Amino acid sequence: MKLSFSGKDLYSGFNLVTGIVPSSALKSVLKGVKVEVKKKQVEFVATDLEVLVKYILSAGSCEEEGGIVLPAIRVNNVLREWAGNEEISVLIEGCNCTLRSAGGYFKIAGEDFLQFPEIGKIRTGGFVEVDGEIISDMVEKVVHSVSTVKVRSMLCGVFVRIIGDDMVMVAADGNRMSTIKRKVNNPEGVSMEGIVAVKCLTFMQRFVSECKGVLKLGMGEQQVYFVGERGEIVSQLIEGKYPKYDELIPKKNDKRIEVGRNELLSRVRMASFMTNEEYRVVKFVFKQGKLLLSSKTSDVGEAELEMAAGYDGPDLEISFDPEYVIDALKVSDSDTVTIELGDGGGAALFRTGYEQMDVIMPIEMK
Amino acid sequence: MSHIKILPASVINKIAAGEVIDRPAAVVKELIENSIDAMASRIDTYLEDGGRKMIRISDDGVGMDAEDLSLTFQSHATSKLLNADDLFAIHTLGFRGEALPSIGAVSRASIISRTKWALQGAEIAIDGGVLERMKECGAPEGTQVEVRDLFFNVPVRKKFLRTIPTEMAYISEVLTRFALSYPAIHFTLMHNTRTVFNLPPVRETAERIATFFGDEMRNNLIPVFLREELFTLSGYIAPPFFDKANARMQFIFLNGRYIKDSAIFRAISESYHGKLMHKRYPIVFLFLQIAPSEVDVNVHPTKTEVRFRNTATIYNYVLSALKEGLNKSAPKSSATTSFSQRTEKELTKAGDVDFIRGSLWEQFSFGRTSETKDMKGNEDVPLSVSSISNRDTLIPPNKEEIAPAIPGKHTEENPEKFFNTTRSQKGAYAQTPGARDWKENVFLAEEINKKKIFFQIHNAFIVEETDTGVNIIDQHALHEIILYHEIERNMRESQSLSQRLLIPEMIELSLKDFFSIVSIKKYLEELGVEIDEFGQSTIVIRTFPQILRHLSGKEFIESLLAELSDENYLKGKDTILNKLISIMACKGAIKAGQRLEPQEIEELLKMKESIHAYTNNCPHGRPTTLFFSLDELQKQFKRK
Ligand SMILES: Nc1ncnc2c1ncn2[C@@H]1O[C@H](COP(=O)(O)OP(=O)(O)OP(=O)(O)O)[C@@H](O)[C@H]1O
Ligand SMILES: [Mg+2]
Repeated sequence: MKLSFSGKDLYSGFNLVTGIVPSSALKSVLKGVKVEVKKKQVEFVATDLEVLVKYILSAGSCEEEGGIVLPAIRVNNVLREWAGNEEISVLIEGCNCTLRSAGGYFKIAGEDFLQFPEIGKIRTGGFVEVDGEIISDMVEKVVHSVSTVKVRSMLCGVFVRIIGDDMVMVAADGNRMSTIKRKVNNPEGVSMEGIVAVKCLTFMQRFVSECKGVLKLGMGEQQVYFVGERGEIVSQLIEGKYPKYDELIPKKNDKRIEVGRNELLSRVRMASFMTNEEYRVVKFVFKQGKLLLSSKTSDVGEAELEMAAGYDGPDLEISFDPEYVIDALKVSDSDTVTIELGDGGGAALFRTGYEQMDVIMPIEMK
Repeated sequence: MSHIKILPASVINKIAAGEVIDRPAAVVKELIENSIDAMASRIDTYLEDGGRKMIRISDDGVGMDAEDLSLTFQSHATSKLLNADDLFAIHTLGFRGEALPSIGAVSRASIISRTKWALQGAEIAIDGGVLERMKECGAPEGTQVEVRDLFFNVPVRKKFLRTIPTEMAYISEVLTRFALSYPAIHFTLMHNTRTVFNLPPVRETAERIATFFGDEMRNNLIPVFLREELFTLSGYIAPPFFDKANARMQFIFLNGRYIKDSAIFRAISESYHGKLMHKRYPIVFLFLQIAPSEVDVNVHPTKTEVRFRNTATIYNYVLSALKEGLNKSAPKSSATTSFSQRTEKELTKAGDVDFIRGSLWEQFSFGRTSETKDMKGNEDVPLSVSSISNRDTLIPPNKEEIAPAIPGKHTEENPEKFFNTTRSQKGAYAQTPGARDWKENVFLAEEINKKKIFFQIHNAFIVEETDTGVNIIDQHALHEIILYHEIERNMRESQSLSQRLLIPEMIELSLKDFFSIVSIKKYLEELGVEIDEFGQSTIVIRTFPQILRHLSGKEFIESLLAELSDENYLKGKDTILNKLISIMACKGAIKAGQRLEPQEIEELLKMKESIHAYTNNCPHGRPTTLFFSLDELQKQFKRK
């Protein structure tokens, strides 16, 4: 079976799926990329058993069907060198594969492609459509709040919910939460929700940056599917019940402060210079028309910074882990950010963009 | 000190009976106590044959007149206690009126005494409990008690007496304790015409410590102090790297009296928690002054055991004073003088002060001394060789035979053998604790001028070249102890930050664990963990310390329960804090099996150098670093 690709196409596809190949796997077949030809298409498939990625190229004039599992890293290294070449031919004979291009060839030992794990049947109520870049941007805006503490596993992913033409993404650790809402095209009017692993989402972002265009998104009981023109991603959903995120959004925060996004970001960042890993806290004091930010850490030093703020209520004081505030502001695209506070040390709401917000819990000093 | 009364029967019954005199050292202890009670400013002890043949103790105290002297050998004759209430107001070391009669019953003893006002002294003698007639005699002001042929009429006891060196070791220990507790008193100890100690009065105990245990110990001592209404604690503690294999170097004095007390021992070991390896003991010199009403010293005839009215309070006082001391201190390695300098100084001193510091030093010796000093003082001399030769010069040859040994583990195990080797100590040094422990010790590097070689092996250990050899470092253990210190310092210096949780965490526990956690709820709250009870056996965590942000509440509670389980008796805030820090350090530290980049290794080694705290052992007590000297390697390869 003989195939032929442009160096650029072959490399970018192969390189993309290689990204999911686990660096250490017990089964050597998992350290490979499956190349399978069927229905005049070549599929490049890799998986770490949680996320499975498929990238599709045209098989050209090849009518045969069959395949091989190629050692991912080794072949990827070859293809990287040849990425500029006009043509690379791929000859698959049983478990051997010969890559040939201008000025040389590689004959590489592969493995039986039938040993490679299969994707089960797609089980989902339906698909919604959304521009790949929008969904990728949504992930970008919430992913900082995903918990890194493994034990509360359901917080280690992004909660995605689709109802009508609204898609909501939520990420939260125990201390803060980010949410964003965007429109999707939902012709079948399906509702679905699930907790998607961060690994799958960041891979989806890579996929989108390689292959622009509309993505179809579907979720079943256990899996999530992203299907694009050039390939697809299937991932296991994280089991568990996600907290009722809308109940965590404070409703009675009646003190509103408007501040410049850039200014606040730089002030918080500066104040955080006077904190350290073990002691991270910046005090926010809101006064008429201004905001004072201060930090003080023994052995490090202290800082007090002032900035203008749109506020005319009574003096307010609240402390945060600066990293949480910085994270929220960094992904904000607006010029101004609205902070909504309530009485007595509850959750603070940072409205950082259109239908985009962070709920941040304060720090208390004992 | 006059007017000896026979105690009323009611008091006699209150006084615990029992054998006080079991060996010469006990006689020495009782007699010196009497001299101290008599306000002596100089106490001379003279011994023959390890005290078996003769013990003579003379003082310049208030003395006794003939009338009092005639009563001293009578049972329960004391000038120090009149009735039972006085038992709780004891300011003197003696109060039972039993020591002299018990001594007199088992020896041939005599007392010569004269008060300031008397023109003539008097002498009374007793022979195996049979009083002889009193005589007048000329005598200096003060008292001299002579005890000959101890146990001559108690063959069983006599049989159990040990060799002269062992008995001398016990006696030296007794004298060491008095000398530490009463620095203003001039003590001497002579054995068979040789001077063992001559300790002129000094202003501070620290000077006595230097005399007994060396200048390096003195230079590293951490002063501790705490004053409360009925309680004062002062004294010194040694930094963790001066640790010992037993608790013998934990000197505790209560109102001047040497005591052993399990609560105080516990407080000591708790305060050093995480700084010492398993089964190693810190060195402390603690002087407690407690209102006599707060403590009962009449628990045991030897009076080394006491009963506090409020043990928990004493425990907490000692714990907090020591912790404070340890926190304040940073090892002043630069302050230590070089070994060769010290030897010189000592040699000149040894000329006029006639005591045998060398062998005492040997008995109390602690691991690190010789190595560090050699590194600085004698750079080109290979390690073990230089330490041996230096140590040799510590003991002038003519002093060998009078070497008393404070009983350490060696004398206990085989005292005879130990003493016999003193004569050939050159060869014996290899087995001394100092030399034996050296492999565990971290080379305390000063500035590193030239670039050192280091690399990682088996993704778990770091091999580091040092000036005099090689360190092999357990990366996890070292990082763990460094983190431990960092976290501890941070926690103590600043207010702890507590993150209020957006999603309170519910944790289901077994009933037993549930109650354990609920019982320490108050302490947890102080540390930033706010907990509510929920239902039968579920807790809800509402706030969580920021410093623990990488841990889930569940992990934290589980680790805490695991760490605390065998220490239920003391769940004070400090204990929990310590556990907490251990947990955090352990979770935060790089793991064994983690590959480290050269920059990371360098960083870790730098941290080890710069951290002003003890890093020899991880918080669980495992060693962090093994040191192999070049000399050792050369020997192993038969190059020497
Ligand atoms: N070195 C001394 N100088 C002056 N008085 C002494 C001296 N030694 C003993 N005495 C007197 O003799 C008495 C009896 O001494 P002894 O040691 O038998 O009893 P104690 O010290 O009162 O009580 P304890 O049995 O608890 O030691 C003492 O109370 C004291 O008055
Ligand atoms: Mg007495």
